[in-house]
Amino acid sequence: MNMQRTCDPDRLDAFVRGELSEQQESELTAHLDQCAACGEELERRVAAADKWQ
Amino acid sequence: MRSVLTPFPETRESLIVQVKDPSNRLAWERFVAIYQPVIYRIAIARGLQDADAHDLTQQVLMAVATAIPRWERSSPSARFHHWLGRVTRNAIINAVTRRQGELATGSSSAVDLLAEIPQPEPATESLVELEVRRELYAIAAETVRGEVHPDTWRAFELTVVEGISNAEAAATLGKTTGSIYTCRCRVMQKLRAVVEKLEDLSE
Repeated sequence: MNMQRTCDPDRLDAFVRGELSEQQESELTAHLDQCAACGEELERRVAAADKWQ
Repeated sequence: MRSVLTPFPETRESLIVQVKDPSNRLAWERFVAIYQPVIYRIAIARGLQDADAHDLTQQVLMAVATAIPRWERSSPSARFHHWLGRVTRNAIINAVTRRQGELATGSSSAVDLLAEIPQPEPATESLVELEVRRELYAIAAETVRGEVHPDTWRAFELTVVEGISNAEAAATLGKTTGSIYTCRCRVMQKLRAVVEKLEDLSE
C-alpha cells in the first residue's frame, strides 16, 4: 500500500501539533501533492487552532 | 525593515518614565508598541491629518499613562493589560469623537480622555479591535519571517497575502503544491504562537 495515497486525519492533527518526523512530514507533503481535500482539511485544522480572542 | 517604534521616538521615552513599577513597565512598553500605531491609524481613518493624528496618539497614551498609578493602588488581582486595553479604548473613543479643531489645540485633558464613555460607540470599538489585531499580526510577521526559510515565508505571502493559487505559488517557487500547504500552515502556526505571546503582555 502506498502511504502517499492515504488520507489520514490523525496525521493532519499530528502535523498541527508538530509531532511528525521528517520522514512522516515528507510523506504527508507527497500526499498533499495529490490530494487537495487533505490540503484543505489541514488548513481548516490550522485555522481552527489559530482562533484567538 | 519596518519598525513599530520609529515613527514615535519622542513619545516612547516620555511615556515609559511615567510608569514607576518595574513589573508594569515592561508590559506598558509592549503595550505602547502595539497601541501607538493603532491609535494613529484610527485617527487617520477618522479624517485627521498626520500632525493632528500624532498629537492625538500622544494625548491618548499620556492620558492612559497618568491613570496607571490608580491601577497600581487599587486592582492587584486583575490583569494589567486587560485594564490598559479598556482604559485605552475609552480614551481613543473620547478622543476621536471630539472635534478636529479641539484636538489640534491640544486642549483635551487627561481627565476628559479617561472619562467613561457615555454611550456605546460600536463602530469605533470594532475599529480598535480590528486595528489591534492587525498590529499584533504585523509585529508577529516581523518575528516569524526571520525564523523560517525565505521560501517558506514566500509560500505564505504569495498564497495568503497576495492570494495566488497553490499551483501558481508552487510553480513560482519551484516547489510542489504539497509543500506549499505545509509551508503555509507552519507559518500560520508560528504567527499564532507569537500573537498569543504578544497578547499576554504582562508575562
